[in-house]
Amino acid sequence: MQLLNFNRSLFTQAYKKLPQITKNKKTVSYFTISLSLFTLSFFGFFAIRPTIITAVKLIKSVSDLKKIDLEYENKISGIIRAQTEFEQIRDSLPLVDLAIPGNALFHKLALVIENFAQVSELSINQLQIDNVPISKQSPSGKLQKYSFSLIGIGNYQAMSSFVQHLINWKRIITINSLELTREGGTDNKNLRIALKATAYYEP
Amino acid sequence: MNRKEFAIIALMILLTVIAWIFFSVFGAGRMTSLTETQLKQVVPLTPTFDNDIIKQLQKRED
Repeated sequence: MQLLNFNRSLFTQAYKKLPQITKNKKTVSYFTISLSLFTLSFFGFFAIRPTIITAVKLIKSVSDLKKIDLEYENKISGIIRAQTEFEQIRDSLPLVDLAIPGNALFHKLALVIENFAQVSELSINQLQIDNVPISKQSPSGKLQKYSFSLIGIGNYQAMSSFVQHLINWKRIITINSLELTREGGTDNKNLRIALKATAYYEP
Repeated sequence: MNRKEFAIIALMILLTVIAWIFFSVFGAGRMTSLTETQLKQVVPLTPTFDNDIIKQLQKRED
C-alpha cells in the first residue's frame, strides 16, 4: 500500500514537472530524439536482430538443402551407372585378382617362373625373392610390392621366350633390369641372364 | 549529463546495435546447415571402369 502511494506521488510530481519541460522546445526535441533512438536500439537488438538472423538461417538452410538434394541425385545416378558398368565386367573381375592378388603369393610366383623357364628351355641357377609377410594382412587398400631377382642360363631364343612369357603373365610384373652376358668363351651360344623385377599385391 | 550528451549516447548505442545486427546476419549467412556426414556422402563418384585394362588382361596368359 505504501509502495503504491509512493509510486502515485512520484507520477504526480513527474506530471507536474512535465509542462515545465515541454515549455522548452529544444529539450522536447532532444527528449524525443533520444527516446526514439533508445527505442530503435531496444527493438533492434531484441526483436529485429533475432528475426533477421532466423530468416537468413532459413534461407541459407533452404539453399543448402536444394544444393545437397541435387548432389544426392547426381550420386544416385552415378551409383546406378556404376552398377550397370559393374554388371558388364562382373565376369572379368577374377582377372583383376589375378593381376594384383590379395596377398604376396610368392610361392605361386616361384612356381610360375619355374614353369616359364621350363617351357622356354631356360635353366634357372638362382631365384631370390625379397622378404614378404606370410600371414594374411588386414585390408589396407594400398598397393604393396616386393622385388625378386633370378639368374638363368640359356640361348637367346630361350631368354626372349622367357621374358615374353613373364611380360604376358596375367599377374603384373615390372622388370627393373635385364642383363645378358655371354656365358663362358666367345664360341659359346649360351647367355647368362640376370633379371630384377617387382611383383605387386594389395591386401 | 546534459540533454545533448544523452542524445549522443543514444545514437552511439543505436549504431552499435546496427553494427551488431549486420555482423550477426553476416555470420549466420556464412554458416552451413549441412553435417559432416552429409558432406562426406555427396563426394562425387566416377562410375567408369577402364575396360581396356580388362581386355588387355584377358589377352595375357595364366
